Amino acid sequence: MKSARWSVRARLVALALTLHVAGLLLGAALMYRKGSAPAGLADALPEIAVIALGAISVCLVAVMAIRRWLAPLDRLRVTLQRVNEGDIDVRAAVHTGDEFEALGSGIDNVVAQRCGTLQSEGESDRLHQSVGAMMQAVTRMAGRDLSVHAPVRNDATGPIAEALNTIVGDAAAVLRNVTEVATNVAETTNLIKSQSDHIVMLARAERENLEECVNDLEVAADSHSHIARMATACAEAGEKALMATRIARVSVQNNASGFQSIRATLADTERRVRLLLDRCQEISGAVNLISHLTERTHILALNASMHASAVGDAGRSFSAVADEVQRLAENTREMAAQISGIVQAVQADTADTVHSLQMLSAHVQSGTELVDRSGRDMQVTEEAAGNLVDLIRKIAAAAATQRQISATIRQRTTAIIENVSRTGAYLLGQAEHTDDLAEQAMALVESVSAYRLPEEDDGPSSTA
Amino acid sequence: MSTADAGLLLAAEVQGPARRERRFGFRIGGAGFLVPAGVASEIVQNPVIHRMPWRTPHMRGLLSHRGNVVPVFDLSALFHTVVQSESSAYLLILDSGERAGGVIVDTLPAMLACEADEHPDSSGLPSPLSDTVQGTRVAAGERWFELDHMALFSALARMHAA
Repeated sequence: MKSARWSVRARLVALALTLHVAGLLLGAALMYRKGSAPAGLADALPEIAVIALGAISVCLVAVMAIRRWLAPLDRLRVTLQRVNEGDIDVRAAVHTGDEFEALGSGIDNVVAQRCGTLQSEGESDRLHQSVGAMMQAVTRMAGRDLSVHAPVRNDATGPIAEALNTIVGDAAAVLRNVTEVATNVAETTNLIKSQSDHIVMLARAERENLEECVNDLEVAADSHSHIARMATACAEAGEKALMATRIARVSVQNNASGFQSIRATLADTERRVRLLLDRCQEISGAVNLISHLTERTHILALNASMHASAVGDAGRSFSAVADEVQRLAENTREMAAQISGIVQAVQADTADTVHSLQMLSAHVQSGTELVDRSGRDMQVTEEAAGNLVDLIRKIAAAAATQRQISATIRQRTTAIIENVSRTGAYLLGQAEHTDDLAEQAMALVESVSAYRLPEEDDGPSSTA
Repeated sequence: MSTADAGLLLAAEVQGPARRERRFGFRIGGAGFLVPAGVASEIVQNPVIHRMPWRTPHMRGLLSHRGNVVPVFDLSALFHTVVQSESSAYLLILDSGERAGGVIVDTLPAMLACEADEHPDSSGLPSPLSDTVQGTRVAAGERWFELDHMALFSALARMHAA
């Protein structure tokens, strides 16, 4: 650029003059517009816009020119700043052909001279810095900060730093694993402890249940003993009942025989009463015959009396005899009538007796049937009583066996209670050990947590 | 009246006052009749009575008795009472010979000691008995009718002839 070959002073003067001219032009334009007295604001806007656009363009051109002119100055500043930072290889290299190029050349010369003197000092300083950085890292590692990463440089400390970083990384990984394992151990221990407490509680409840079970078994054994005794007593009572039933059956059989004998006696009595009834019938016939003869005698005497009366006084004595015969016949007839009445009463009584005997025979027959049925029932009862006695004996034997089984179960349950008690004691000891283990795990976690470990996602931090 | 009552009456007559008179008493249709002691002849038990045609209700039939034919009358029909069976009735033959006649009686006749009736009354008897009764007497506290057996037989014969 042609204008770049100007000096900075010339450029600033030219710019000031340009701005001054531009200002004059703008003022003249403004003055002109005041004198022309525009008709309105709408008529003055285009002119104002042209003036403002020109002023802005001038300012932009001025700013761009100033910045362009001052750009070597920034480069010089950056160069000096890098030199101050230790970069002795940097150069300004300004080729503007003005004061800035001269200033840059001078700075480059100074820096080149300085670079020669510092070349030897640089290496020792870098080594010293490397050692220092590594010592810082080691110091932080010694302070249980394993997140530190020793800087690895291209000097003698590089392999040492890598080895140290590897060891620290492995140690951090190991400690992380230790922390995880210790945490898991603590959680598992707590879980085991809670389970152990639950098991201890269950063991206590189980022991209480078993103790109640033992008590129940003792009660059951007593009940079985009582049942066995009752069954034995029932068996004895059943045997007595069986004997009584047998005796009753024999008695019933004897009663049946007695009823048979009574039936035979009743039949014979009925036969005899019937014979008596026949005899009464015969007596009645004889009495009837007597009555008939008496009536004929009476009629005969009556006729005789009437014939004697017809004769008159001659037949008076005969009439008296006839009257006496008639009177005897009448007495005989009356006696025959009485006998006939008595015989009829005897016949009626005998018939009633026969009827009663028949009824009695029927009752005896039914009684005999009932006795026979009772005998059969008694036999069935005897068989049932025998079966009942056998069953009761079996129940007694089963109750005795049950009593022995209950005693055995009670002994085994007692042994189970002892084992449960021991198990509970062991579980309590285990719970104590678990508590110790949990405490130790927590202590391990706490001791490991004293180390600062690098985050898993991030790499180790560097100290340099 | 039973035969026992008749016997008692007979004994009373024997031991009674003298004004009592002896009569044979019998019953027909429940009514008591008397005949003189010498009139009654005989009692026939279970008589064999021969029936005759065109007989009247009170004519039982004819009886052959000791060679005589005796008419037999059943006067119970006059009293409109139940006629007794022929086998069980007693036949009283009154009088003898050709004057004899039989009457079916309820009971056996008995000798009675009768007294005079202070209030004789024969009303209530059926005809022809009312026409053949000659008076009344008292025996054993009952009223008995004195029967004229000949008038009775004549009246019955007239009735049969009519």
